[in-house]
Amino acid sequence: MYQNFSYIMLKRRLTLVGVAVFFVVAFITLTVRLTNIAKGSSLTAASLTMSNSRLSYKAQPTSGAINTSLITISGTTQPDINTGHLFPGDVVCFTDAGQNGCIGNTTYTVDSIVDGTHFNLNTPLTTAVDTSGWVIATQSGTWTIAFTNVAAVPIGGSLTVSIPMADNAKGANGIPDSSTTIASSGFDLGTIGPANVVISGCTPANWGVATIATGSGVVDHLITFTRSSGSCAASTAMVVTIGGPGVINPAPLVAPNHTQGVADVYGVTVTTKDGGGYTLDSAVPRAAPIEAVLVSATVDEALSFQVQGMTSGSPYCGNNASVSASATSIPWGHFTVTNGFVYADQQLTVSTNATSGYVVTLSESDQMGRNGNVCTGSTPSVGNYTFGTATCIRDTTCSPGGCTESVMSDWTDPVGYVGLGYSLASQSGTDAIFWYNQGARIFNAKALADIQGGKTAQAIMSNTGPVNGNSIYVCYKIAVPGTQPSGYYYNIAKYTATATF
Amino acid sequence: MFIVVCLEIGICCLKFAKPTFAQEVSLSISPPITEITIQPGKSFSQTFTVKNDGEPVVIVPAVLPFVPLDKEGHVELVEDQNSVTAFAGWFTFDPAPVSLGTTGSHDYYLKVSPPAGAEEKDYYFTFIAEVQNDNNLGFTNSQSQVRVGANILVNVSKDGNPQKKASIIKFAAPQLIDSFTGLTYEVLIGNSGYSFFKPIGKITVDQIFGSTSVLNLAPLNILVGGEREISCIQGENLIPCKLPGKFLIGIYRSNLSFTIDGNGESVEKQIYTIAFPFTILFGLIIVFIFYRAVRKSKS
Repeated sequence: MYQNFSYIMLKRRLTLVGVAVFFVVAFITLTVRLTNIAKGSSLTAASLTMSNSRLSYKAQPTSGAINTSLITISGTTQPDINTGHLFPGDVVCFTDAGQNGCIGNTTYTVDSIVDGTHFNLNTPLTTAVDTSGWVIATQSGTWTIAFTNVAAVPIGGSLTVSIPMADNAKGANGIPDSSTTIASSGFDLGTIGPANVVISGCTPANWGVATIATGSGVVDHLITFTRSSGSCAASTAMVVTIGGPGVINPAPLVAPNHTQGVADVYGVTVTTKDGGGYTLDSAVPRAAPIEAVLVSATVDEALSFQVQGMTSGSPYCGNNASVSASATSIPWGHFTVTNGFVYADQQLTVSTNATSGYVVTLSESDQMGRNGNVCTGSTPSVGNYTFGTATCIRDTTCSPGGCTESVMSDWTDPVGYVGLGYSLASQSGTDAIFWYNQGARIFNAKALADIQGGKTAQAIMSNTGPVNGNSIYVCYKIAVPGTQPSGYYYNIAKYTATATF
Repeated sequence: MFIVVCLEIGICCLKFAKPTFAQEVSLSISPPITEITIQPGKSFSQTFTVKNDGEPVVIVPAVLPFVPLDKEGHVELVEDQNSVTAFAGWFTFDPAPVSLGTTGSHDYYLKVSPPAGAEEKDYYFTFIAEVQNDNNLGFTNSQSQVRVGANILVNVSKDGNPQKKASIIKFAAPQLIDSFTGLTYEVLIGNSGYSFFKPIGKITVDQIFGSTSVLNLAPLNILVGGEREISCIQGENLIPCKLPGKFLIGIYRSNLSFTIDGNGESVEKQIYTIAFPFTILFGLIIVFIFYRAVRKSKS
């Protein structure tokens, strides 16, 4: 009886211990399991960078005949309802209503945008457009998805990138997806293969080759890496790159659900799981394709020429100007100095983007005639100021060696060599054809080319390439003999700036 | 104290004073060059924009024939009245003087219409915008008149395919150079055809048993009956045709080759240059002579 009682007590105790052990084991197991599930937190620092965030273009053509290049598109109820997001140089193709690839497997290049619903191709159509189909300009690019895992991914675990696609089965036909809402639109994988998807971080070799499950329309595209060996420790930065031909961006949401210039924002889900398929971490970085902006500017070729008069006292060409010149006149005024030099300066400035440069020439209408009389010929008939019956201030000959409109000479003697002449000095650049102290001289001078005397305008400033604000001083110098008859003498000096042909 | 302050202010004013300009005329014209091939009896329109960035001015337009001034692409305007009136019927534009205020601009619409009987050849003109000055200022002066011009190269051709013919007038470089002097080429190309053209080509320099260098010719217009010195182009800049490199040695074969406007057969010429380090040799000889002299004096 006693033995029976002891046996029963022992059995009860063992049962109690067994139940306790069971509960402890169950508690531990559930705790671990529940703890793992509780770790299904957010991946940190998750981001998605698109190398090309431009929306694809997708409009419905309403006309486009064979052997023509003008395309008209519909302005209503399409992803793109105008040409605002189509640019010269874009490659387009035409599809049928079923979006079964490019008709004739032919692409064209946009030549110009005519207006909001018309554009030109750079080659004529080889097949008439299908007006129930589409004209598309595909935009695609590489995706770089970066993130850091919170929980370790064990062997047999996985990493999955879920890319939204349009709610139809043509998620990898190379034609941009489109729909009326974000939820029902998405990205096309085109011809992306496993070799185009690469993972870095967490010993890449320990991840298996990516598997790509093209979406069905109901299920999105899934790209998965399985951890084949060695667990991936927590807090490891990883990057998944989807390259190759690139992910094809969707067209804008069908009008009126899209505003040009405002991105259509799609969520891309990144998830890590353990070997049992339980989610460890997840994040939803955003892909936000948007219209590109055509930045354009037209720079016209131009030649700009500026003449400035310099005030008296300006110290150019080795002398101070005696009189103030304006841009249109050298007012020698009333000569109080005879047998001496009088100076006046002007500054010429040229800018041009013409590739072969420019030239500025200088000529004079005639030598300085008294009261405008004609100074026939290029040299006085007698003495220094008599030109037949006319009286003039002559062009200088500078020196015994002589200067002309094309030959320079050092002009230092105001008594033996009277008249009008000029010299040059470069102010910015080296565009002066000659300069006043060239060859260690004091004032190299030339006479002005006398058009009345049959001379040809002479180059005084030039450059063989584009210039920006290149500048020279033109230093006029005059010496009048003491016997010069009184009177009012004048002529016209003409600057002509032309581009080089 | 007051005087010191005044002096300081005066010194500062002088220190920062800029050159003073009495007045300025500043005109620009766009585009600076227009190239046309046109059938006789047809018309072509071009817009020239003249802009004033200086004092208010009055400008008058004109079209003048030009001839090449030199071998560098500069123009010499032909201003005699006979030449100007000979082509008066070719051009239609508003000849009225136009007042341009500061920053003002004016578009001139120039219609070029070679008559139906115009000879098939090139014609060269410059569209001029000239500042009108006051005449007779009443005191002794030299008036300055400012003009800006845009060149118009017109080829009149019935079939649009004028015969173009180029010749190499000069392709030269020294036959013997010192290794340190560099190798500079002179290129002079002539036009013996019936239309202006641009040479598209290069100078290829081969060092025998060595490297190859290429100098690209600048595509500059060469007018009919004329010749032009052609420089080379590097990026956006025209540069002398000079072989880069600090030390040249050996035999260099230089081949000039170009096509007319990038089409047709290539025109070519080849020259040879020998580069030798004469300066080094000369230096060694001097050192040797000096050494011999020193040794001789010691012995």
